[in-house]
Amino acid sequence: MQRINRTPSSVIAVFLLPSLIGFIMFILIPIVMAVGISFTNFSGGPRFRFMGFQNYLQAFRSADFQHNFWITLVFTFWTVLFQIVLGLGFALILNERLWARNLFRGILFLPNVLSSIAVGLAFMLIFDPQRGPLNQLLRSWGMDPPLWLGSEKTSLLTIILVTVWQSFGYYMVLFLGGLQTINRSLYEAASMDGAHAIRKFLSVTLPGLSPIMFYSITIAIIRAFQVFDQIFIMTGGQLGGGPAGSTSVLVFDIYRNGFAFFRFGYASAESVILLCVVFIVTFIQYRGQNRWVTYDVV
Amino acid sequence: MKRFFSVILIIGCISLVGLYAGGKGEEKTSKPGGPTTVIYYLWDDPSLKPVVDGFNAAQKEVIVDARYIPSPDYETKITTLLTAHAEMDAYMQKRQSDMFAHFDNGFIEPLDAYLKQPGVDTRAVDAYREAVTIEGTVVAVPWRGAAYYTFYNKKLFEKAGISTPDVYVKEGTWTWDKFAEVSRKVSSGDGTVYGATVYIWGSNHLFMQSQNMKPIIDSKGNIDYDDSVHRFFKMRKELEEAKAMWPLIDMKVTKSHYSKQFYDGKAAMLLIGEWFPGFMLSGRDQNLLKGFTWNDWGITRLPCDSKPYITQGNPTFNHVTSYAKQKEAAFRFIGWMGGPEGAKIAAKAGVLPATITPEVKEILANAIPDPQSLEYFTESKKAYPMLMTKYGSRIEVLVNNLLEEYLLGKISDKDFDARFRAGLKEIIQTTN
Repeated sequence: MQRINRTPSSVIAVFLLPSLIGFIMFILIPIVMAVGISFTNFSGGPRFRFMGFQNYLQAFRSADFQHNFWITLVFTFWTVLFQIVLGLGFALILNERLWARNLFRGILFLPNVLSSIAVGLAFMLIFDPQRGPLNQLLRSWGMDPPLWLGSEKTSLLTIILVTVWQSFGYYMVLFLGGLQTINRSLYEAASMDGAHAIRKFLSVTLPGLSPIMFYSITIAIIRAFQVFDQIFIMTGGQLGGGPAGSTSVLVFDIYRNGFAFFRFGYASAESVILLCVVFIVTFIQYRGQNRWVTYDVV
Repeated sequence: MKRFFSVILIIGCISLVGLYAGGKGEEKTSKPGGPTTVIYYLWDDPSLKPVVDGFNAAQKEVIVDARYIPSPDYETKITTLLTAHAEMDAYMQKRQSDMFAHFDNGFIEPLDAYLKQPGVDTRAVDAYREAVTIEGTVVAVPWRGAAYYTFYNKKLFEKAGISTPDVYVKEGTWTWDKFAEVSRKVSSGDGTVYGATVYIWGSNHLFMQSQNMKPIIDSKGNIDYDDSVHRFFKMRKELEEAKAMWPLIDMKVTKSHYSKQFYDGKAAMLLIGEWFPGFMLSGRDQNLLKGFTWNDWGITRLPCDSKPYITQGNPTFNHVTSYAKQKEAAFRFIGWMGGPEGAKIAAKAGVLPATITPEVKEILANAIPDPQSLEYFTESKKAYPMLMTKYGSRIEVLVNNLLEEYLLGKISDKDFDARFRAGLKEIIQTTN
């Protein structure tokens, strides 16, 4: 019997060390500190005291927190929905043998590699109610254009549109990768059974893509809960966000409480609540995947 | 064996983390017998660099090592640096009300003992003592003075055929009602020329409140305001509806700067602070003034219903950090900045210095278009330091939010007071 040469534990340890140090320094310690600070009235200096669950109670009672949480949920729902639907739709189209499809794939993915700051600034100009090219175009067609970021009715929608525009290409690439792993013979078998296109999509494509879909939805939800850059840039971060608090998401409120009001304890409590919400949502998805995610379609 | 290596791995990680977490950054110490180096943080305002250069050129004992932080990030970064006890001997405060949290956390050195030293010029502190004092302790030395004014475009008034605001000031009728009336008259009514611009900052909507010397929430946590907050909001809404005032939401969304509106000749009046002549100098030098020349603008008092005249203003000031390595040298520098020498450099840049001497006034004359404007700019007056309590930043955000909701019709006149009071009570209850 041949003896298996195992890599010595010391070598494994040496290779693991850099990642472990990074994990401890940049993830574990900050999380532990944030949880610890959330139980205090820490405001940046050495003079702080233990407050128990007071920051958490304050957050749950605060009308601002409830409003910001609701805005975050609305943002997350619509952003994730559009990102997944558009990502999947374009992946299906660009999976076909089209002229210059690689070029289109590149173009649609391109916004994803751009800085959110640059994208935010560019769209601020495009959505400018008076001088922006979009409203000038709409006016030239005889329409009464909206104020976009200038109205509490459309500001969040505008941010959602920009976020979706910037990121759906990423999910498209993931879905394209998934589509190419589905065994072609399954489609041939379905055709022989008389399945039409929609039936093939529902019975072959979707089950085949379900692991990618699960991953994409999970990542999209986590990212949406963390949204900050676009809102900070496009609706005046230092100046309080969109009109009448219409774009005040939770992370924006965390930033403001920490760095403008010196309520680091309260801001940490908000962060921990956000962490718990993201964890619960992800856990529910993880537990629910058995019902719809198929790993054996090849 | 596995357990052994796991233990080694964890110990290695913890040691490295500890080593770097407790490690020291770059240190810049003064050489024995050589000049003392003061590390000073400020933001990248072009008018500030000449002051540092001026101090370094004026003497040989202290060298100021200026660390510039981009202006939009300044408040956040300075707080982070102070929390981390980053090497810093002195710094300039950008959001003035932050000094309460900084002082409360023990980052700021009390300056009373330094100010009592022989030969120390205390004129800047004396001029703005209320704004730089916390519980009877002086914590900063002002560099830039503080006052809001009415800046006006003479050409637009001439075109509209009405008197400029200085005429009403001389008559003693430059009240807020007159301001509203003049704004309507001078505006084109179609959004081409607005009568007035009041910028988006919440504090700029508290001018009337400042003139009544009501702090909204005082330093002891008592609510103290009157109906002038609502009155100002109402005036703004009516003027915006009449296209006589530049719409706040439009300014915020488009990030349109008040200086551009004035440069473009699209705002007949601008209610803004003492730094604006510096902007006008830049505008002139870069040929940005449209439809008017350097001699076609003027400065006069803010509208005011009460007598004697009161304006609003928080000076810009410097602190010495409590953990500074070079406290004496740092104080010497910020004292110099607030004194006549620093004032001359500030005056050259077109900003109102904290200390005004005849020489400073002479220099300021080059940044102000006419002698009458210079008189109004430098006259002795009370500037009420609005929102200078630990509640200040939160009150400003509350004012911003309520103002936007009010302008969008989400709060009625009837509900305004209840909403404002409820917001203030929450601030008092939840501020550390």
